Amino acid sequence: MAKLLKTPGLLVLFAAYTLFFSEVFLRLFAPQPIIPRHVTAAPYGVRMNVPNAEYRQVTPETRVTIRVNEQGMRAEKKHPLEKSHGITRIALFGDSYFMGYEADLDDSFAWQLEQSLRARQCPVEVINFAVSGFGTAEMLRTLEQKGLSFAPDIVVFQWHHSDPADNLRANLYQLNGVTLATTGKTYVPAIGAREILNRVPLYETVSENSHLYAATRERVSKLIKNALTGGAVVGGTPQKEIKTLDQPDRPDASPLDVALLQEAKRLAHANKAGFFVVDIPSMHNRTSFSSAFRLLPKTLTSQASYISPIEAFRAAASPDTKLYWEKGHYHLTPQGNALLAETVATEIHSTAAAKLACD
Amino acid sequence: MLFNSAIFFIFFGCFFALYWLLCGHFRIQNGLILAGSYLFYGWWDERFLILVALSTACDFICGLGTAGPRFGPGIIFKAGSLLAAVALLATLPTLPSSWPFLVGLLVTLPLGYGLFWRLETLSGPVRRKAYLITSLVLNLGLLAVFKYFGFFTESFIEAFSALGLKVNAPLVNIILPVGISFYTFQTLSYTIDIYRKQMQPTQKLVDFAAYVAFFPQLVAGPIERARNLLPQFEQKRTWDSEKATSGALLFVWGLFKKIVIADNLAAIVNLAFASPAETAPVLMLTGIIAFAFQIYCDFSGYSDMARGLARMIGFDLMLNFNLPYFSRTPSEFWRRWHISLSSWLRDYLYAPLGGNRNGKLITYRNLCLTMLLGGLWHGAAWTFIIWGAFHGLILSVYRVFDIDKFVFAQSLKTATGVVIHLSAWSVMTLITLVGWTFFRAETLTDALTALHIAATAFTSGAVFTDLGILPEWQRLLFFVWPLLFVQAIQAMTGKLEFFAGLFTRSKTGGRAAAIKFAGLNGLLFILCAIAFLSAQGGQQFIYFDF
Repeated sequence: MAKLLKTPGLLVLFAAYTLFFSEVFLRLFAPQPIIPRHVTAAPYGVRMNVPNAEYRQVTPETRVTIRVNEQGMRAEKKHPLEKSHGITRIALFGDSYFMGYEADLDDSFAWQLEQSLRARQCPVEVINFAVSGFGTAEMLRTLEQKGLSFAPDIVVFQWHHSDPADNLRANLYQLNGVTLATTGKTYVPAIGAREILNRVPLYETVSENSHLYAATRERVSKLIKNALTGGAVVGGTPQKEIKTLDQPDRPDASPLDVALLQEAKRLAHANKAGFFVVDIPSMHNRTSFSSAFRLLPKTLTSQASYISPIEAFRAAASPDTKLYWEKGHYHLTPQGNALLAETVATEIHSTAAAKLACD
Repeated sequence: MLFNSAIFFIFFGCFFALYWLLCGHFRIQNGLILAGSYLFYGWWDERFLILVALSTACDFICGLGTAGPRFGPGIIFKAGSLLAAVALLATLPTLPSSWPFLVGLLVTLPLGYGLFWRLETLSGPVRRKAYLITSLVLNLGLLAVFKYFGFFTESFIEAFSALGLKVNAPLVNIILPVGISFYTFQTLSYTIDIYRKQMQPTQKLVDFAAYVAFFPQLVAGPIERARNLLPQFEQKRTWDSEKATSGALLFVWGLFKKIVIADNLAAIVNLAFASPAETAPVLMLTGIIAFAFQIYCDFSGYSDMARGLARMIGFDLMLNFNLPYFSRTPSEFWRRWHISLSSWLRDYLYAPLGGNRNGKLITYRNLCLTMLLGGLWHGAAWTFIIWGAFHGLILSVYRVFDIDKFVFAQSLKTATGVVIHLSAWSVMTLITLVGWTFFRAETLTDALTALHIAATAFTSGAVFTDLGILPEWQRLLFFVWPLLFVQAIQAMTGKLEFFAGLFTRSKTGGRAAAIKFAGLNGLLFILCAIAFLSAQGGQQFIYFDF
């Protein structure tokens, strides 16, 4: 062993063999979900999907291809700014759930929603502005800077339990008393490092195929996230406090979260668009879920524009039914997406009939 | 500070480097071990240090007193100073809330001085016995107060309540100091061995304090006899890379057993034992089997890590587990399971009770009593007492029918012999599983329910139809097979630490290279498993509660 370590050539060989062994070990005993995220910095200070990106997501349960159009949206084609006559435009703002991670395009929520409304004889065009990792603050920024230019008739925001923490970390908006104001800052975490890595030869191949890379990346990002909790302050909020928002027994959403949702609603209404918020429940096991709306004030979530699929999920749940993937990053399965889309389509159809040009 | 925590790795890395920088100065190294051990132990709760220091100071004096010759006042002063210094260090940072400890110290120190001065006025065998009794009273008293007071008070109240009498006994919530059962037994054996003239006491307080608080084995054993470990503190330790490598490998193997096997099986066990009455028969059966592996890997994993760490700094700790689940009879099991405790109980409880020297009935009584107290040592709960009594009863039954003699008389070279050995092993495994069910269950009712439900897995035939497809069973097999593979090699080669010498053999040639390559792959496998298969949110060691 000592001799081995003294010889540089053998040391390199030993290191290479260790990497090879670890890769084989993971593939045999602990296959990792390979769910790359291809994002870049948008001109308006938040992340956006890399235009024209095409990549695979592989988990022990599923294998899908994600294609992003030239506008940075998950879609097969480009959406023109001008609306077609007689078509209702629905703009979706969310994170990887709305983006349809771990689902093929025609199994994604956006696609299913469009199909579900069309099946009701409502000609709609769903434009998906979702970007993995987004919180409400980034959704709002994207709506302001990009979404409104497409003149949507209906704006749909996603609400997930990770949003309160994301909104604090992003530090894009702050509350001055009761007034929401921008901080003037940008939030493009890890984009610089990602762009450097992308310049490394073979990086893309490794990141999309290596289980060892996926496992290491997952652990390193967790370590960094944990290391950041050591007293650092982001936007006036101690990281320690932000971390508690990531816990299962996290406190309720802050006034900032509510203000962000209210501002999105105001902006949508000001542009003559309807506004909805969709709950993404958390899974405890195959038959037990909890609504992310529990973090928001009841006065808000009791409004018709707040749509939760929790009852539909509970009704459809059984030990043999998977509504969420279990060996990946817990995104919705095609069945979960269909159920969510059906619930949202029904609610939109009944409460925003005036906005829809249904036959 | 858990062995499987990041802070421990930082602590040990610094300690290890400094320790070997001081190579050649073993007294200074002993001082470093003492300081490191107190830091390690105080990390849990600095107040616990006062108890270790109290036990150390008292047994240091008692050891010298029990030996016979008188000692000067300097010895009592040294021991008292250690206790005072530790108590001040442990309480000053938390003043004023810790003032009762300081007041206790101000009262205890003069009382202690007074007591030992009084003992010094005695002479001959009376003096020796008085010192021994002082040590026994102090150590057993610490255990009684910190471990059993609450249990006995509650049991007392419940017993009177059952008779319709209301008793108002004081209920005090006392924290159980980690490892108290281990170090008190260790210091007790020191004084008793000196009283029996099996060893000479040490004059070096630092050596003795480092022996008592030796961090690799302080909180969960092995319970080291002073006559094995203390002499190692009194000799020079030289750097030996082969020994350090084998210690590191032993540590890694123990870590693997703990965080990969035991902690992953904990989820299955917790699920099965959460509510035994509502658990499916095959899951209950899986849970009981999983617990057998969990407790073995948890405890023997800790022992391996302790032995590995000690070896890395030049010490040899005793073997604590020797393939216990290969046992064919209960007495063989107790010669292989938690060897340091069972041999302690044999030497300091069973033998003084008379052992097997006073007829069969007295032997059975001694066996039952020893095992019952052994059960109680594990924890202040009726389930542990029943577990101990159950093993005592089984040991007696085997002795009544001379089953050990019959089984071990059979040759493994004949088919009949193999069948008898296999049958004996099967029966012993079943007995072990029944015992572990009492050990793990929260209450006696839960234990009986769990056993009843697990038995229905056989009577209903579910074990043949449902077990193989049960995800928890598949998970159990997934985590246990590397252990079974290694233990098969250990049993076949008769070398428990065959892997510890894989990289240190000086042999060369094709076969040696092939063995080294296989060893390298085995090590990489274990390291990968630790990195990628360890359970989320590491669990505390089960034996820390004992």
